[in-house]
Amino acid sequence: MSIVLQKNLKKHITSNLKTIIFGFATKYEIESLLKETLEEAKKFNNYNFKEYFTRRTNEVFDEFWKTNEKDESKIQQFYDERKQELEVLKRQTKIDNLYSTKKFVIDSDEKK
Amino acid sequence: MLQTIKAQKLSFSKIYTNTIQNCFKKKANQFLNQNLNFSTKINEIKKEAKETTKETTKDKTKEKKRDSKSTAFDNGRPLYFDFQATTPVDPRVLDRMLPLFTEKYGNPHSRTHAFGWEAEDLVEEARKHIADLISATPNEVIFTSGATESNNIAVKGVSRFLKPSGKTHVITSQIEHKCVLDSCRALENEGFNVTYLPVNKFGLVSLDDLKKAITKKTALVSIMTVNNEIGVIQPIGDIGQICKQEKVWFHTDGAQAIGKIPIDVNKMNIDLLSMSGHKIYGPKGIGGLYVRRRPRVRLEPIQSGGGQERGIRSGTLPAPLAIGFGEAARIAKMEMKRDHEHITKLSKRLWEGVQKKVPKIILNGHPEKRYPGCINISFSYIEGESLLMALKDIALSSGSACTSASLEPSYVLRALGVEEEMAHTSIRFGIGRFTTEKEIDYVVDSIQKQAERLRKLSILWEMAEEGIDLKTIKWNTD
Repeated sequence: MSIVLQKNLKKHITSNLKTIIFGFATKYEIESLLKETLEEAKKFNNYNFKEYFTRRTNEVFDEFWKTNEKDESKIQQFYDERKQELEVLKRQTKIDNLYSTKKFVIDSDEKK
Repeated sequence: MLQTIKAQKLSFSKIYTNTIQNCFKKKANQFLNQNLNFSTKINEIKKEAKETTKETTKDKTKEKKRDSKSTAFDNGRPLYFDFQATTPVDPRVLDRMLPLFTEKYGNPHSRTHAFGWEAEDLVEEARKHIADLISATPNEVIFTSGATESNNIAVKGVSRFLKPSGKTHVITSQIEHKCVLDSCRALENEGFNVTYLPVNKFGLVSLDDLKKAITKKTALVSIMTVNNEIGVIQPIGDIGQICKQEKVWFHTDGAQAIGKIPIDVNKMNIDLLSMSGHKIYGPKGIGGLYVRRRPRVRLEPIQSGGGQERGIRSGTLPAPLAIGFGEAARIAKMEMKRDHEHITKLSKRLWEGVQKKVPKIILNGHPEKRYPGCINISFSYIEGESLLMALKDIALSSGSACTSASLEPSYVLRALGVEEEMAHTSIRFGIGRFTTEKEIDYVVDSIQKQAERLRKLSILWEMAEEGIDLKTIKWNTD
């Protein structure tokens, strides 16, 4: 009896550990993705795009944390979508900087 | 500088000794203190002015190096507050479009090779996104060059097709976009009767008027969903219901509505819907027309050609633009709730801010049944054009972009019964996805400053302040 109990306990602990470790890992990955996206959004020369993508990225990630999603496939889906958008931003910030000339009235005020 | 300060100090000390002699010690001290403060203040202001001129000259030389040609944006680009005229292309949209300008250049109608298939697949995907936005099926959506073309096809096409069966009556409203009104004028020349429904002071069409206007000869009713100048939302669902009962085709110009407010062509009984790409953060030069299949709306095409787009709009599809429009529609659907909340918040902030800081202003249009991103305000005793000129660092419009070249007051505001003087003083603020709170605050402050300045110059404002009723004055017209 005692051996069976021990085995069960071991199983229980290891499975829990897995979910805990997985949880930490995904949380870390998602948070670093958020950080990276925000940094990328800052690179826009266009004031409005910069502000919009910063605001929206924060909102989208906040909404995700609020849902407290446990389903691994859905977490993966969210992660993939955000990753894809990060790639879009990486390309678009470069293009934005290639063709922009002047800062906006409000943006130059900020610098002074 | 030092010399001037010294000279000032000397002159003040002279006054000081004189006044002491006259035994006004206390008063003289006060006087001296005040004036010394004043002179130091003046010097401070002078210093500041010098520094700022230095800074601006530095900036200017930098900018000249970058771009020697442009002169319009010397102090930085103006803030964009004209989202009804057009919207900036969303970077996510541009990202989808660019490969079609480089690698995927195929003609979507080519059936014999992979380039064509690739482009066709992408176009069909875009069509699906647009259909999803209005709850239609993809084969009911037709690509056109923009909302103007869509409106022309819908209004002229349906009416002309039904003319042989004796239907020679069209109903529209007085506050439609110019392209609908002009299409109706063209139909009048072809022998059609057109009823231009009046609107109430809020800009809403009366359903009773509509019911009375429909006759057995009526072919089409065309009423826009969201007005481009005052943002009023018409009761499209109710109008659709009436048209369905009376068995009249119902067309609505949804250029300002799609992607901004939820639209369901089936629930609202819409038979034809015009759409535009560049009003929803997509590219210019592309639009769409929803044409119902069940029951089938038949129409006579305006353009003859190769029979693309179900024969309604022949001509090669501009694949990059169509895909941009599709992506813009997908994003609009995804972001609609978030955008609407953001725009409502900013719109409230703008209206409340301006209302608090500038007296005697009027919000044109309906106070509640409106799209919040379009605010049309009349500033009494200020000429709208001069306010626009004074607010150079904000991109605004006094009304529709199509008529912004003429100085005539807006026909939309005149249809609402707004007096001519007030119609001349109106300004439209367009708020969109990319507008920020900081921009709103900047605009409110600028308007307060400029409105005060312009009103100080105005004799009419002075008279109104004194309580003279301007309507009772008999002006000398010699």
